[in-house]
Amino acid sequence: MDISKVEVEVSTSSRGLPCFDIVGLPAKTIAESKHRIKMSFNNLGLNFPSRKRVIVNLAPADVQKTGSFYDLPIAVGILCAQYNIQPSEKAMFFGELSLNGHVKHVNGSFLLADYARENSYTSIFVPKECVQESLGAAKIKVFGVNDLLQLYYHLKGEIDIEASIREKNNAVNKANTRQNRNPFSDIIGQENAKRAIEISVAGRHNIIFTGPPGTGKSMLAKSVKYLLPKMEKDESVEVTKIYSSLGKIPPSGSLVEDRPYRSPHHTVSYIGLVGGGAIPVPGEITLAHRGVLFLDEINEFSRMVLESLRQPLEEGNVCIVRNKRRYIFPADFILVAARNPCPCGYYGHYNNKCECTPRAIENYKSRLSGPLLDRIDLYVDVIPLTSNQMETLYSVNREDSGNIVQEVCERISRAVSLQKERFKNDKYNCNSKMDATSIRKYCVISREGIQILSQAMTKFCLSARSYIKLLRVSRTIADLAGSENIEDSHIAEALHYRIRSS
Amino acid sequence: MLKKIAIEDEDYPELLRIIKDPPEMIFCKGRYTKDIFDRCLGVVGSRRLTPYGKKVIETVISSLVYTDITIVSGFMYGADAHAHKISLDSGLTTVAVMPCGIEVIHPSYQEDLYNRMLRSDSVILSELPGNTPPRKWYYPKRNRIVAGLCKAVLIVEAEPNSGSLITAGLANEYNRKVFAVPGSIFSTQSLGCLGIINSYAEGVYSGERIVKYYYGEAYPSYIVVQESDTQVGISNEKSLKEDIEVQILRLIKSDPVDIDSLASILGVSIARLNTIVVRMCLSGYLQEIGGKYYIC
Repeated sequence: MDISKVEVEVSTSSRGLPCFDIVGLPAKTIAESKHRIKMSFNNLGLNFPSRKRVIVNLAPADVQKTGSFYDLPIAVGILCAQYNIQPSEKAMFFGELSLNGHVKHVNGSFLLADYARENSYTSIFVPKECVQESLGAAKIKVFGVNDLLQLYYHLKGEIDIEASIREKNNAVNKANTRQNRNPFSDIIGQENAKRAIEISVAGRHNIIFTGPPGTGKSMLAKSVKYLLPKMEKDESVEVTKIYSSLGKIPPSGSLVEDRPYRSPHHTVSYIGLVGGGAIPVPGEITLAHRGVLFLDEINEFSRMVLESLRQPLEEGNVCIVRNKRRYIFPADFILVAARNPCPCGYYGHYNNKCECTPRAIENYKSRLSGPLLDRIDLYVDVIPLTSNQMETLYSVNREDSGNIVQEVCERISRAVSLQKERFKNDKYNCNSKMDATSIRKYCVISREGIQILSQAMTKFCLSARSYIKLLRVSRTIADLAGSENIEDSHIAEALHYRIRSS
Repeated sequence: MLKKIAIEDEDYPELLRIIKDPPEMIFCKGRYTKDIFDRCLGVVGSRRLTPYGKKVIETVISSLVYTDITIVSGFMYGADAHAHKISLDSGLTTVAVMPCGIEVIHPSYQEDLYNRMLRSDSVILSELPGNTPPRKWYYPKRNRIVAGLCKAVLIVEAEPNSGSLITAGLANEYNRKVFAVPGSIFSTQSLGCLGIINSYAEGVYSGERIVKYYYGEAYPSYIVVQESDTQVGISNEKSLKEDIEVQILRLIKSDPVDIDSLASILGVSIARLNTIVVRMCLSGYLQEIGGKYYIC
């Protein structure tokens, strides 16, 4: 999500036949700017140099230009040439013009504002609707422009536009903040699953729920959303940039503060999930960056689509090559998956209504390949409740679930701060991404612990990768308990949530 | 070794000859000697074998070790295949009556079992010639051969209206002894067994009764009699250190329980219980399948 600078040069000349041309490999949108700009001038009563030869150059000349935000800078260039005015400070302009001269919203203003700040621009002139988003990038004068005429008077020095101030409390997604919702309020029982969610959120471990229909897998996965801790400032900026570039920041919003939660349907295409297209656009996994990607009915996703998740799960980004250029989109998310145990869904149900042959079950299970399962740290079997259990648990639920959730959130916060401190000099910030060096340093276990693990390796047929996963999960469980050392009980609990191959 | 035996031949199994509608010809592969069919026990059960049924088969068949009993079954996945496997593990001869020709392996992914049986001097048998493929309508006819070959038949688990019950009914018609194992009244797989126990079948809980049936009172004294589950449970309990582990074993004794239920009944937190059950799995007291815990 990088910005490269484009300079708009405007030159007018009385010599030669009148024309108005834009050069510098403009896309069709930009070529059409000419009409918008001319009409804006006419409709606002400004003089367009129609008898002159006007050439606009978008430098650097060999890079393809796309987007509609060049309208405003080109118009400003023409205004300056026509009326002999200069902007007083180092300023940046972007915006689209409508035919009546109004300056319209563009995607990516956050990114542009961020670039301006980094490169010591003192002020930026943006569409009114982009003001809050641009202010999110901080420490720069932002002028919200209504229409070209207003800008003309400002540049002339006659009527100043007021610099905008950041409105408070306008973070995007405010409605979903945790204070308002108890994530577990609607889920009866399933304490095992809830505990697994706590571990997953605390250390950002990938998790998969397996169980028959109707057991609450989707609800459990959705509750993850409400337990996610707030993002750090730099994470916020990253995510805001992504959403800004896709135009998903609403007019009044500035920074995205809550972690994203994406749940694409299993009919999503490869490009829709991973990103790509003729001009590469980020996919769902990038929109889930720093947040959660929930894949319900994961066995129904096409195999190719699922396999494409391997790189992002390992690296935290996805690399797309298109037209000989490489695009690297960030994609560091928690994968939450839900699936049925067999095609009909009822394998292992207490009513035993499963009609599937063993062959069908094997085929179904193998849709999720070994390597993909290997990147999932927590495995939960979700068991259907009998009606008796539902009755007893329903009343219990109402009473003290609020307190319990409070405790869970506190434990999670504590674990998150511990990790922040631990990894302050590292590239990553969570236990699930620990590399071998960190594991050696932070996951020291007692001799009894090693014994338990090696017993488990044999008894449960675990691979070396599982061993590493178990250490990472144990570290998170220890953090949740506020313990500096990893106790045997933490290892045992990590073993409880290990991946089962069948 | 391939053999073709007509009904008139001397090698034709006696018990099969006397049924109402015996096969004219049987095809065999493997070590065929007539004495294999002297003491046949049919072991049939549900294709959807539960862990309980699995354990029953293991318990019963392994208690027949050192006897000359031949285990007859249908090679179907589930109870049949498991019965064949445990017989081979226990050193018993086993006969698979195929629903197809003896050269066809059905289900195909049980090829390993097929080959193992041939290597271990067991027998693949069929009424149908060589490469005949399996057909759904043929199964009841195949079942009559299983019932016809055996002096007694054991039904391990059966759903109502299942093939296993057809075999049981035929055995009864042929005046053979029918044994059945009761199960949980909440398990669909056991309802069939419970039904026939109320009419013509005898309910059994161990291999001892079956051995007695074949050998009378004078069965070889070194045959090990299986302890009943409760006794095993108590001896396990004594070696456990913690009270809560004993409580868990008691709760799981007859029926598998999932972890949430365990936690709420015992009143402990999930985090603590997770740790305890994992340790019990590692020590071999429990095993976990599909989220539920079973006694090992």
